[in-house]
Amino acid sequence: MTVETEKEFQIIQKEQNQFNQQLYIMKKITLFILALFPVLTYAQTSVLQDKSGETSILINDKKSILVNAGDASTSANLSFNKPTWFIGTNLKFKSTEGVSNLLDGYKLKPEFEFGIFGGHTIHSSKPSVIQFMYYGLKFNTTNFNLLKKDSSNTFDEKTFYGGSISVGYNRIGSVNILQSGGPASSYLFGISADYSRINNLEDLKSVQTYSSFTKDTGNTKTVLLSNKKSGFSGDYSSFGALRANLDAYLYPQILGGQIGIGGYIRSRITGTDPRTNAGVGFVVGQSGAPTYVIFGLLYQFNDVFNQLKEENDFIKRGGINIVAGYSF
Amino acid sequence: MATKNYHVKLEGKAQLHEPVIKLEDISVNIWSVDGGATWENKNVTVDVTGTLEVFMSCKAMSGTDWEFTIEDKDADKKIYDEEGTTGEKLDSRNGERIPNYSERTKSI
Repeated sequence: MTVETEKEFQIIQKEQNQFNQQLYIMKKITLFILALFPVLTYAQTSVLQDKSGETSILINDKKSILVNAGDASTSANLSFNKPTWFIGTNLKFKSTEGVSNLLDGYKLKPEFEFGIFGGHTIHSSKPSVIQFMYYGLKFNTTNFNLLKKDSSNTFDEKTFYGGSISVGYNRIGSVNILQSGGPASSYLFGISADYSRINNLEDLKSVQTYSSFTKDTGNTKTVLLSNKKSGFSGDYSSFGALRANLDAYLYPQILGGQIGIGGYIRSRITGTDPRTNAGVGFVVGQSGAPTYVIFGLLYQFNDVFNQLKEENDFIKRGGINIVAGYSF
Repeated sequence: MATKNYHVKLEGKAQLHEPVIKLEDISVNIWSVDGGATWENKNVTVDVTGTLEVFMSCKAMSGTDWEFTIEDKDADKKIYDEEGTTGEKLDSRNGERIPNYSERTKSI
């Protein structure tokens, strides 16, 4: 190894050490936040959600830990409830490019969401019916890298500010599916609409860049990677969109009333690239608390009506999502 | 007639909806700060003549467990502790089963 190469190697090693130190601190902070949220808060939105973490069902959990394979985020709600109305706030934090990139040595690009919500009971003459309306305002900020369109292979650092205004309706009722004299099965139904300022990051390609250096010791050659960065590539845009969500699950008594079978529909009606996604599957509720989902397995069909014309095979546009949580 | 102080608490294993607690046929002001699972009022003052008349009802998806307790604060003693599950058979309604619903009536 020449003297110049040795110096270059030392500089890269120094940069690598500094980077590792920064990464270590960032990981500690991230893990601290991830660990602290479930402990600090008393309520968290339901595990009944899609791959993006969206749901129209506002059933609160108590202290809980939640894992969504499609939406690596942590969230927390705080609410005040009276028998006929409620108000609350919620906070959500995630790594814009997912946890896997973070653990693989790439820098954290955070996404924060803050929301306020409120609602009221709609009284039904049937004691078996629970129904309420809710309203919400959300603000979110996303920090991300966008690959420059020139040939420099470098990123522009960008920040997106978004938000939404929403209205929703939830209902828990019962239906005797077998028309027998046995106990009726419960169902959970939710529908919501929102007008949001969103972006198209989920449609862009995820890309990574790094500097490489080969250390040649004579017998072996080692490739060193430094300055790892991840981001998105493509035509980025932000826009307003009207969206609609629908969730429905039936908990058959024949299965003990603890397992919900159903799914969801997520539709972007206006804005750039309108599309409808749908999911079907089942969720398993906690013993003595069927609305506290401890495990869910759902298959999501993306762009059901092929509005984007990106993949003609219906099955190939889908994917499995797993959610798991525990309330205590 | 005696003026008594009570601590009433209705705790669900999951979120309970539209809970109603009445002592001596008077609705008790209750609230929740944990997302609707635990409803309580730690300081209820009631004029009681003879026995204390209790009524409780709540709604949640069938199969949701709950526990309802009343503590006599003057005697520092739990005078009522009842567990149930929404959608169960109701003694107060001749064994009728109402999905997603529970209720209790009791004279103590």
